[in-house]
Amino acid sequence: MQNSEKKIDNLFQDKFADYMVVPPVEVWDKIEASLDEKKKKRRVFFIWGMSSAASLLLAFLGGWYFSNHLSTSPELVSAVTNSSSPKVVQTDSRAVSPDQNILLQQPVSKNYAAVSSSKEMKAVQHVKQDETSEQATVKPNFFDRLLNSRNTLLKSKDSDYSLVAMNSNNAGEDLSAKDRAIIEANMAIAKNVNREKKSSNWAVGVQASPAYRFNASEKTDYPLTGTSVVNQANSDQYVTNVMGGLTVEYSSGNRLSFQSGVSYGEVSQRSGKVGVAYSGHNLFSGALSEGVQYDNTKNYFGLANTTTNVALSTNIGVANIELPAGTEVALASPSTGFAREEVKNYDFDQRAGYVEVPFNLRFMLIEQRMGLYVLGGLNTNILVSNTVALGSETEVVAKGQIEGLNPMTFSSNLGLGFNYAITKHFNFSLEPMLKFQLTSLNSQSVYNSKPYTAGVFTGLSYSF
Amino acid sequence: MEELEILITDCKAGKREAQSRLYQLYAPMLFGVCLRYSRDRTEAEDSLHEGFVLIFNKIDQFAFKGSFEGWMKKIMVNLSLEKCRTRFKMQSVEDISIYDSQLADADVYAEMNAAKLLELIQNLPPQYRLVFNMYAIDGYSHKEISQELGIAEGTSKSNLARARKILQDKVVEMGYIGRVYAE
Repeated sequence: MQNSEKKIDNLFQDKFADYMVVPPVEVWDKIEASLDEKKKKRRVFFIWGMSSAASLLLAFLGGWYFSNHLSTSPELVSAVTNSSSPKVVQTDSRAVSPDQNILLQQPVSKNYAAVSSSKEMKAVQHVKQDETSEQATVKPNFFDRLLNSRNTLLKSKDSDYSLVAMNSNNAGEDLSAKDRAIIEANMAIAKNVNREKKSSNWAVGVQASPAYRFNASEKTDYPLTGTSVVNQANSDQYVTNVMGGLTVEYSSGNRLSFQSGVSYGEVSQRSGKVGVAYSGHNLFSGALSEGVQYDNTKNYFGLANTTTNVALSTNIGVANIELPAGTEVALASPSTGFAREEVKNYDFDQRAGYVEVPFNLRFMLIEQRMGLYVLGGLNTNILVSNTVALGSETEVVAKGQIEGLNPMTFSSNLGLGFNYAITKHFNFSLEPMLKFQLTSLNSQSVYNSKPYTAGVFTGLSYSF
Repeated sequence: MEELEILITDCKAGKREAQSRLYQLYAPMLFGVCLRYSRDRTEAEDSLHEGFVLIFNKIDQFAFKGSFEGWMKKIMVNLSLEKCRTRFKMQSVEDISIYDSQLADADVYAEMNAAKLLELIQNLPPQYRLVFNMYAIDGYSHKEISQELGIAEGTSKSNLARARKILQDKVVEMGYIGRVYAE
């Protein structure tokens, strides 16, 4: 029988050891196609990899910078609003230098018509140097002064007089009045140029994305002693839900555009681990009643030393839940437990709704029908709803809210986007985005709650 | 051999001409392997396609140690295993002793043509097909098979016995040989 086994093996071995069959021609075609595709993919991945690495780096640097240097939120807003202004000056300077006649057309310029173009260039350089040497915090002043000077010059019929006034106001400012006038003229020209450049520079649209939230910040456990707060047994994951809203976009130049709008998103946590026991069974005081069956296998939220309110520690703060008369929340500790029959498991459902107003800068990397861009900016998040509920699908047993949530928080955005012009006016976009919470969601110092949000926005916009 | 080394080096550099030449040289042999490990011709063509893409992608890792043919064959076999693993959950088969001494003993085997035998192999249940191919034709040991497939050695042995039995029965059915069970 050993022999017969060998025989059948040998039969097949002999036949198939050097068995060759010429495959059909189309197999090679398929292989070739696959190889070509791989190459293409690799290229796309390279671009993807590079750009996402770059945007991640920017995002982290941005997050780090903002969280370290800007402690209160209003400052954030002003810093960003102002930082864009010197750029305008730069563009303007280019626009004016070749043509002196432009200056003549301006109401303030008659005294400076003789200014040579080389002087103008100097003035421009001056502005540039000034801009770079000054810190971000000084920029607002610089810009304000420019605006002031412009207003003064425009209002005054006697330009000589107005210049004197300006000089005395801004002693120590090394921009000459002439410089100011030139800059001011430039600004006017730049405005006109921009107006002529593009006919369709406004766009409105809708976009939505799944919101993946995760904690990267430290959560200090709320101190138990002397409070009614119980630490949650298992730190819960955030619920993945949908965020989205309306967008408004204005493109100022060729590649740069500003994006704003309004959107809605919920920071939400859910858990099905809250055991509620009905009163009359002394299950939660630590001392177990005799003759009651206990289920130690489940993991529950902890118990507060009060029967009217229970406070549960969550990722974003203390959930203060008011219990209806006769309900008690069972213990988390396995050394205690509660009666199997008397306990119901309820879902813990927390939602904090935010209306978000973004202010993003968008920069096109590839300007084709299929475009690629990076975008980044700030979000102002306004808390509009704050609810916590214990219940099942059919009923809500107890309600409450998270304590100490800030009514307004700020976050930064960083993302990469692809857009595709479906028609002349309609645009489809896909934006992988990361949002970094700059200020904590909770005002209580033990909850430094800054969840990250990741999402891929799918959007449709109409430009006009 | 020198020529092959140049060809491999060119393939490593991603030269399409070299890849095409390599395919022409080895596709028939590897298609033979794929046919044995597959359920039918279509599946074998898919395997050949995927296998060659894999070979060209992994050719960088070939260090000119050992046979290139063996290396490619191994990739094809592993690919077939992987396919089977995802498609079927490996199941073990009962005791092997009952299949002992139930095999044919005849020289008429030699007369059978490859196409018929291939059909027999392809019609085996997936796991039997793998084990039989690996053990009987490609020279894997039961130990190696058990490692590759993630099954017990005993399972590999019983699968082999089962495969042999089925093949034997089919051969008989087709009337090439009489039933010659050694009672």
